[in-house]
Amino acid sequence: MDAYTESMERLIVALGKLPGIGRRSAERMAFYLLDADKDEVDALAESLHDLKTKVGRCSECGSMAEGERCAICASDRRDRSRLCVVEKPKDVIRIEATGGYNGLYHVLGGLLAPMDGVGPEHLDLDRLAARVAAGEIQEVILALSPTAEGDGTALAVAERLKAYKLHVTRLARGLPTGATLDYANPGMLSDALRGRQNVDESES
Amino acid sequence: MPVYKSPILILRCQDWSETSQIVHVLAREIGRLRCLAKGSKRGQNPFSGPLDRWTLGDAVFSQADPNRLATLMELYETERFDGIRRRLPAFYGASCITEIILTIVPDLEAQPAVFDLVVDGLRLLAAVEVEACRAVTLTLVWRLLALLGYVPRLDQCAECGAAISLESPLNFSSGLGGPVCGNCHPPGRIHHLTAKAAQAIAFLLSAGWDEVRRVRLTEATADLIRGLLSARIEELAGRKLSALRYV
Ligand SMILES: [Zn+2]
Ligand SMILES: [Zn+2]
Repeated sequence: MDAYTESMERLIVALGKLPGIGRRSAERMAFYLLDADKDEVDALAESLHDLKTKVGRCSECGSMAEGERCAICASDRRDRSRLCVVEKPKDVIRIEATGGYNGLYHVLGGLLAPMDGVGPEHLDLDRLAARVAAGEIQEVILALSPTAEGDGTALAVAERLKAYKLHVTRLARGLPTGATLDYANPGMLSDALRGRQNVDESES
Repeated sequence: MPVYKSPILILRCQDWSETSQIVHVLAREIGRLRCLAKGSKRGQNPFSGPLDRWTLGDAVFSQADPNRLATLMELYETERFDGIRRRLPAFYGASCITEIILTIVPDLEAQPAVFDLVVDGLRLLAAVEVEACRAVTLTLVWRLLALLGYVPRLDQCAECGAAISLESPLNFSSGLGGPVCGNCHPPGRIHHLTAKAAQAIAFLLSAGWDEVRRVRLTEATADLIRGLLSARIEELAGRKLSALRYV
């Protein structure tokens, strides 16, 4: 568009590629940045640059890390007997946000999708098995989506780990909080029946 | 806008937006189609939650015209084939069947017999012993191709119709999807089958499911059948199937 300078147009096109951002929003952001302090814009540019140069994968768990290991793997305050297996780094953030888990993680890097050419050999199962074989881990929690692909992935992980003496569990599934039985489908109800809990927590 | 009712099987679900999904379904009375399930991810009326692959149910949908996405207006879930989600060989088998439907079944062509075979097949996979999943899956794939008209009979030449004996080794053409006699030389790959292998396949195609589920295929026979099916589907679809190798 001729009304914009070349740099401005380039920025608008780049911002417009971000998820959920259309041309109009991209223009608004570009004008905001044009008017903003140089320091603020420099800081933004630097953090974008660092994102691609400094953030890599943790050599132990496969999650995001700056340097060799992530902060969770490097911490001496985590329970090293428990390992939570997730699909992607974003899932680690979600589980950490609950504040209810203090063990380690393992990021598989995807879900088993044989129809799309993703077999068990494409998931980070070798490193998972190696971590388990090292002996410290006693419980593996599979925190995978309750979808067909999540189920298949859980089966592939369990298959790979069956040689080890481990307690392997999956996240509970069934009725979402706030749902009424009227609207629950048979699948949800059967999951909820399988994963039922004691009414009084002191009994568990 | 025309409204349709049909039993459907969900083949694939994709996120469409924060709240909605696009579901690829096989509908018994309509054939394969894609529909929008508005609000399904949030469990908004009429959906009780996100839709997932391998769900069978009675659906109501509307479609303005065949070139546009249909809208799934209602789904009453009747079955979910839990056994497929709880055993790895069954999961691979169901993935393979689903990939074949997504690959070679034409859109919007009602084929109730195909629908029934697939649903019966998934039920069987969900119920049989883990060791039976491979024979059941490969038999299902073969029968599915036969039902769609892509593999002719085993006892006659796929080119000239001459009788073929299963008592001796035979040549199988992946271009024609059947055996060929000594006089015919169709283009495409030719696979050489021993009489024993040909008889094993003939048995799987004619036996009742109760007999099929008792079959334990050797690695060599399974490899051979996978090879024949894979080559045939590649001829039909122009690409290899991804899931077959895990069966
Ligand atoms: Zn780490
Ligand atoms: Zn012939």
